[in-house]
Amino acid sequence: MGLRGMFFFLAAAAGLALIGCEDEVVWRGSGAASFLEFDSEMTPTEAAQVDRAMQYVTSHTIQGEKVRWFREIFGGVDSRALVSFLELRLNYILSGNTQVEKRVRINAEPVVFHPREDLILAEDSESGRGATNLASLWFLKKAVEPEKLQFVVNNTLLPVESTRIGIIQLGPAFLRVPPEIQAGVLLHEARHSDCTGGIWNSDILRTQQGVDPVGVSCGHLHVLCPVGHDYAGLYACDEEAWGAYSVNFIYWAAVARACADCTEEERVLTEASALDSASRILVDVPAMVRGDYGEPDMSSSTGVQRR
Amino acid sequence: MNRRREWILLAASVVISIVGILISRGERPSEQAGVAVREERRSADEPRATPSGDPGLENFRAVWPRPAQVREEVREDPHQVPPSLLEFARALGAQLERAHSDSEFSLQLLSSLEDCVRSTEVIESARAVCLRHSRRIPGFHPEDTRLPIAAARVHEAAPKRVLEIAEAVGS
Repeated sequence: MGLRGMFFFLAAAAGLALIGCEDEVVWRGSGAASFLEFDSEMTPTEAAQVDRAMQYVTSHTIQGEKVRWFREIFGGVDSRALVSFLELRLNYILSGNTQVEKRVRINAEPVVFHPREDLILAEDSESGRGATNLASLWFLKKAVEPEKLQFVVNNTLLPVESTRIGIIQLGPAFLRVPPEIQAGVLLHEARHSDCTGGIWNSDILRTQQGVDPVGVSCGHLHVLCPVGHDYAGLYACDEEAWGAYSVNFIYWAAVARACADCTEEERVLTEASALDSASRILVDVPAMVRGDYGEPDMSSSTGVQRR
Repeated sequence: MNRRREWILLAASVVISIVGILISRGERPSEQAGVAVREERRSADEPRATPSGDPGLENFRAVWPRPAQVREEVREDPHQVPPSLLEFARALGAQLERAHSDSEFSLQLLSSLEDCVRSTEVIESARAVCLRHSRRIPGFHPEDTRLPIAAARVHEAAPKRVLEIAEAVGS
């Protein structure tokens, strides 16, 4: 083959490679949502709604310094802090139609789930239809060690290295609420990515036996609301201070009280939403806001502790 | 002829029975069917709201979030704010807008909010919303001395848990 022949061969190979690359291009959010990778099963409507929620986060002037604990939770007092908070904790968005069980691999092989294990995947939703953070994959990963647990997004096997793998599945209601509510839901989901204080070995044993972990701040799992509560018997409450409902409580309170350019309707809706979140926090909320339960610990760990 | 009369009587009694069953189930066709059904869900010990006679306020009452309805919404999607709470908040926003320009209506709205705060047939977070917004209303018409007194009554009607939730957001 002469030099010209070699050139054409290389050019053709490069062209083929480029065509191949086009297949591999991942679908990302636009604008403020560009750090998020969308799974190929996402619908254009779902993608547009996530973009809209992120656009809401960045386009409003929140004066976080006026709201106690805003800085401690989000690491700053403005919308840039909110985006950084999300960037650290959310990476992949799945469609509400995706069957997440079919995406789990152990040593690259599909897994057959028993009903209890299916429940463990959905961190807090009885029906599995809610917007859900798959942070609980971390518990499953520890339970099957030394086998390797992976999760498939866009035909790529992702190792589950921590709860901050940040895989979120949208729920149907996400598409039906206004952007200020969607933004709060994303921040709520992000909090589930924090494994605050690490995991207990007893919880790994519980997961192996198909029993949900209890009383852990790893993943900030929700608990059943108690008898007498409006949501009694549903996994819709937090028994800890500064869990996921506290995060959207503080965010919505900030929109209601400390947003320089929000509409009156946005204020009324977010205040009602903040109060709904407060009603789901089972500790004494005014005491929590006073600081009686200490500062929010927003750290995350992959450590395993004995007890 | 007798047989024919018997048939007519039988048919008439069947029609009357069906109408009676429909009426007893509250399925009468009505412009405010939704309101009628909601009213039936009130418990016996609930303080009966004084009808305001104001269609806007009656429509507002019709969207107060009831525990059974909200539970279903939360069961479907635990992470989302219940849609009925958002609908309620929107409706309240419209009432507040009207209260801004009408002192008499402000007084009626405060009475309605007192019912809301008191009612065990309304979810606690919505009752807390009613309480918080009742505090704003006297400021709409500072010259009207009746409004602070009515707002104080709303506050007194709130049970501890509703107060706690309302206080959590701060002022």
